Amino acid sequence: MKNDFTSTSIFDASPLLFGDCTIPGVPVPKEYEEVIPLVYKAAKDFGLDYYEPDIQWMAFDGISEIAAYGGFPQRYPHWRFGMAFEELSKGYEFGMHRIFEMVINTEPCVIYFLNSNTYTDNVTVLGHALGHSHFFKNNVFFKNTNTKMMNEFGNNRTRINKYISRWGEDRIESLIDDCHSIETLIDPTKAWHRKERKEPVISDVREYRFPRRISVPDGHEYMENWINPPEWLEDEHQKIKEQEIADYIGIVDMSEKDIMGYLRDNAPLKLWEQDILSLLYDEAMYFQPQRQTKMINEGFASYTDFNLMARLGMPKCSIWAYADHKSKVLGGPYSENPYKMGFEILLDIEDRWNKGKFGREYESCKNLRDKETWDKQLGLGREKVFEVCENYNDVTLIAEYFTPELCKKLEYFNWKKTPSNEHGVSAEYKIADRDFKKIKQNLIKRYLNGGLPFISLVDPNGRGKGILVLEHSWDGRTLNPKYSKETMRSIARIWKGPVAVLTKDKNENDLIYYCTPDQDTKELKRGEYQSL
Amino acid sequence: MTTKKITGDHSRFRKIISGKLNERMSKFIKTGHILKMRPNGKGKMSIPLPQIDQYNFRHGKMDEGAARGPGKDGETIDKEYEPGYGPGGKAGDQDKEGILVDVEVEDVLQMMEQDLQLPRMKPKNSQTYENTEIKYIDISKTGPRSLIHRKRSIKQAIKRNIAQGTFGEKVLLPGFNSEIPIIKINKEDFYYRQWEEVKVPRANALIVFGRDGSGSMDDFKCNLVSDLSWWIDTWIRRDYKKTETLYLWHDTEAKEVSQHDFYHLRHGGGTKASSIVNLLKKLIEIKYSPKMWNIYFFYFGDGDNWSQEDNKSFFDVLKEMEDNINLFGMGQILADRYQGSLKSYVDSNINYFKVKDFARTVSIGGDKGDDDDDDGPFYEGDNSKLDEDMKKAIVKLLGNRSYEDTDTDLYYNNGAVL
Repeated sequence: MKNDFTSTSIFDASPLLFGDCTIPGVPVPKEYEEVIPLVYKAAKDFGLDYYEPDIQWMAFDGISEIAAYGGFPQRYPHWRFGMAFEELSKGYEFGMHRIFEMVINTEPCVIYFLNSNTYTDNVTVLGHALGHSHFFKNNVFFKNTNTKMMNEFGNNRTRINKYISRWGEDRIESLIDDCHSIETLIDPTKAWHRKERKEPVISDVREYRFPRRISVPDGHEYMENWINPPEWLEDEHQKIKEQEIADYIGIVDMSEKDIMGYLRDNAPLKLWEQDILSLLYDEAMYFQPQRQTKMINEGFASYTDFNLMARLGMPKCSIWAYADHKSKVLGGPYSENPYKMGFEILLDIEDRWNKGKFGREYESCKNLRDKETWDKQLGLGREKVFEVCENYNDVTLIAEYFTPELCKKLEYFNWKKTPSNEHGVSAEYKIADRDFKKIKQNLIKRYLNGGLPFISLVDPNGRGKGILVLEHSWDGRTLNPKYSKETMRSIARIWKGPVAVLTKDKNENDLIYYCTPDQDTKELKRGEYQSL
Repeated sequence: MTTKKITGDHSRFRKIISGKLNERMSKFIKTGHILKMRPNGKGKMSIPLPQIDQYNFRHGKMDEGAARGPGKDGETIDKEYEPGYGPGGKAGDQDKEGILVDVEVEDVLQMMEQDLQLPRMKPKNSQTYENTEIKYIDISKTGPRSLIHRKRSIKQAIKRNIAQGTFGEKVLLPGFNSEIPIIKINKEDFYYRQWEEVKVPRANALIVFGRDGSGSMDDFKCNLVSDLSWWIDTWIRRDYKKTETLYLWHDTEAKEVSQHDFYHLRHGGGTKASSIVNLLKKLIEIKYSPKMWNIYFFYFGDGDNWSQEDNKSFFDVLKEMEDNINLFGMGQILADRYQGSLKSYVDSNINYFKVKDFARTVSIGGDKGDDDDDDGPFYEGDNSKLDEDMKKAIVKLLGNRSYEDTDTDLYYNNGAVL
């Protein structure tokens, strides 16, 4: 072997020598060079308006890492990403699942490709990802998300690393654990609120407020008692007085859904704790539109790749391979995964608007045969689908476009659980009925608030003892006791004071969970809570 | 090499897991439950851990919902198989057995060593046989490329470079934009590893498992025997370089069988326990010289023997072999109700052995047998007691650390064995 360095071949092969395939920017293989511009063009012709795509070609270990981080190359250090990585890479090793595509809501829109997927898989994935990108760009719920979030995540990592080196890994980790417990307790509408700057409270200056009198024109003073009656003025004075007292002792009149934000602003935290809480709040706010629109987003992306691959067709892609890919993603005939459900609803919308099955004329038609063979050849389907994709989320999509006909076509039913008894008969799940209204209710319940219970803050100073009182809006579904108790401990640790959750049990009796920072959560009756 | 960002998080997760694992494992070891979990595959065993969850507010188990599929009203679509789940049960309260984590058996053994105070096995003192072994503990200036001692070579190269004044010289290499400092290594700088022959005392072990093969040894008892002998085997193997296992089986006549047969062969014939010791005696004479082998003999049965005379001859032959065998262990399983059982005979004559603690007898689950008229196994549905008994049996058969003198530790620490 020659020892001089005249040959550069060793440097050409350096990525292989290092045994690491995760280096970004591995060039796209030659066989894809032709098809990728074709897909872009077809997508543009189809009507998509997406962020500039940026394709990253990766081997499995790389894509597992990225997927564990939720699609971003940089996240703050925490063990839950390690857990996700373990699950993903184990699952791949044992052949249980594989990642087909990953795409994130940024500009440019980064699309990750797995190099071990087949040609047709990858072309399909590209079409699918462009659909997602269009959705991210145009859907109203994504309007206020930060498209440069990749930078933010990088900064957050640096910030948290700084805090770790200052305060130690254990302290930061337990705080982040607590924050993860409450990251679902945010109000999505806050994305539209203007950011408020909190003014320092100056308590020694008292503002005097007076009832607003209606001005009386000159020369009409005799009307004073009619326009501004003294009783009314008295009432207003009383109200203002009450409001002042309420402000003074800190009673909040409204119920607040944004508990994480409230804790960030009001919990007795150190500055670095508050900073960590606020940056995790921002991350949670960034991810919440995706929770809200999971089904319609996946449905629209599936609709896109269906149009590109099956209706249009791409060179060198076999329709059988595409069908095989789709069957893996969508699942069996009765699968209920979000890909399939969104896809079917969108296809139904397209069909209805193509044939004109909407509007007053159609609704008022009494002849069932006419209704079934209704076809006005309007061809408005695609336009309508794009309109739906801009303005709807999961819940509103089901509320508006889940029709009795579709319900019957997709064979939905309601199930009910019969309890087990002492004679050893185990619990069974039975088909209860096929009542459309009930089915729709159940479906909406599943997607409302991402399927999580509604919890709101009703009183930050409960019983005058600093109890953070939360209320669960009970709709027949109870809270999971184990999870709730642990979550409440987390909240109590952040709030550094007692926390109570008002809820109801299965039989609609009052149930109160009560927790202090240094005790386990207890279940209380109404009377016990009143005597705290 | 680029380091992955996930590595830190992943190792943190593994650390949390291993903390939970230790908790879990010590719980399993305390109940003896681990004795029934045998590693699948080589060198590792899987221990179920409850899933680590991130907690948040979520709904409890639901009693109704919507789904898709064909069927008529009232048709059953699924059943719940959770045992003990009743209407009063707490929904979602149980831990999900989420992850199976692989653990090295060596770790388990170490924890067992701490918990059960099991001793290290020691070879007989009389053995003087020595083995030569090749160890790479020397260094030389010549040798094959594969044995280059990198650290020494690079040190030598740095020294030479400094001496010659060429250290840190900048060279323009192809592929780099600017000149970079390098260390030039010459052929003279290389050092190679060299082997030396080391003499170590030889310690081989022969583990003999004997079993009563009468019809009363059913599957349940055989499984017990199999679990017990697996752990005994693993424990002894730990301390010897070379081990062999021998399986002996007997009804009225003894024979050497394969491992599979040992756990599955059954025969309705009579029982003559002395046959097995006679066979072992013969085998030791022919094949396994006690000068070369440390012999451990474990015998399992349900205590039912042909006659009292046979018990006596069993005992006599065993006593003859006392000098040749390191340890005799006897486990009597699930039955001690016979007045003249083999175990009670050995127990009553145990003082005749020269070496204290040479013979160890244990009965698993049978001690209270006399007041129980049932024929069936004692542990219908009560596994915790069985687990406890298994644990006690292992401790009794392999001995306790308190028997051990301090010399042995020294002996092992010197690295004479292993």
